[in-house]
Amino acid sequence: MKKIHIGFRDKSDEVLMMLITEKDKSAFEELYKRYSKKMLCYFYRMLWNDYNLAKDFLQDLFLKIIEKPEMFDSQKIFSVWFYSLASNMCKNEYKRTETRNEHILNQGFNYLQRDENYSDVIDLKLFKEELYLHLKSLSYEHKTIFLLRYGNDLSIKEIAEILQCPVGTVKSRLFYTIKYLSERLNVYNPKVS
Amino acid sequence: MNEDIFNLIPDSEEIILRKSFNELSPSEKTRFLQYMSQEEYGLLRQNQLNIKLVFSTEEKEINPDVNIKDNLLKAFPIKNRKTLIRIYKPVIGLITKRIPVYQTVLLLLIGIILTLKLQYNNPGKFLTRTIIDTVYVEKNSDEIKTDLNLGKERKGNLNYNSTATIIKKSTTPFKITFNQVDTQNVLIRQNLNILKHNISLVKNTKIGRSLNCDKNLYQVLVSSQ
Repeated sequence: MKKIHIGFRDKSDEVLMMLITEKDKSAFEELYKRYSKKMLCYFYRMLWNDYNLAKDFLQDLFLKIIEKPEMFDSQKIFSVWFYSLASNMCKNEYKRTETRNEHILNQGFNYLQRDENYSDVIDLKLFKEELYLHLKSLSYEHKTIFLLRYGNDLSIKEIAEILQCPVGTVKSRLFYTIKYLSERLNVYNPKVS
Repeated sequence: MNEDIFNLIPDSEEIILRKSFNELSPSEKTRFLQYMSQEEYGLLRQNQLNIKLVFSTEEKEINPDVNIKDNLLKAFPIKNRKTLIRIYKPVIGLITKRIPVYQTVLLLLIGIILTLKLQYNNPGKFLTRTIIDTVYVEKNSDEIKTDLNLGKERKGNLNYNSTATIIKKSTTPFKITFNQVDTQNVLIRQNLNILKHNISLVKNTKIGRSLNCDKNLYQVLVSSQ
């Protein structure tokens, strides 16, 4: 049985953060309940489908809230701030493992050359595998915009705030990412009505 | 389809997701056809829908580990005063509740009356004071000589030629001389310091040990006269 106070469900993220600043454990539990899955999915997709790494990142992210809740400016929208923290963590990881990315990128292109042999397969599972493969070849900027929009259902405006870049840039990067993926995924595209 | 239609056509990204080409209004169709064919529109939409489907299906499979939450909660600092106050508010309220002075005085009076009444009905219980205290006798077994056989007969004499020390709680240790002992009753010739005390029982601190070989402590009950 979950021990979350019923009263916390109605509270906004910003109010919960204020309570966390006062070391309210239940407020933290509620916030964790709201964001843990979303953030884990985001990390999982951003961090090359490495589930263990994603779990570590999730823990570190929430630890930041516990240790320094005052980092959050109560005048701002919590979700935007929280996603900014998460995407910065990923950005640092991308910088740290730049070599790894290059390796993955090359892997992706090699695999692309073999695509034609599977032109008849239109399975969603295969589509997913291919999608992830091509996602790995994307830059951090393109990938994070794409995942925040399609994986986490954030609006273009929210993404622009998170990444602190103009809306036009977000739209442009999103378009070229979809175009890039569409060109490569067409052969695997299961027909969804 | 090389131009950035997401910037060129307002809300185009959402329109593609929401509507198939046939569902577009004539003006929307015209706008999209300026930059892409109907087939390209269809493929773009199909991909977007499939990507959404992949992610939503995947979300059901990805769940945060329970350990993560446990670890985080362990790292959470102890509640501060404000939170504690909120939790224990009912208790604090009860303690800090204001009681009228006349009620307090009345309660005290009732208490005093009841005490006096009880004292009057049972005078012995209140006037006679019996102090029963537990003290310990420290002695060296080498200093004790005995012919007592505790194991079988449970009676006999125990002669103490040397002295032992009684340590009474919160008092200065004083000396006594053991003269004669049996298992049930102990008579002790005392020095002047404890003349007012009767040693009523000497009990071995560890059951099963015979009195003469106990190197440790002896428990003595002392009652004042």
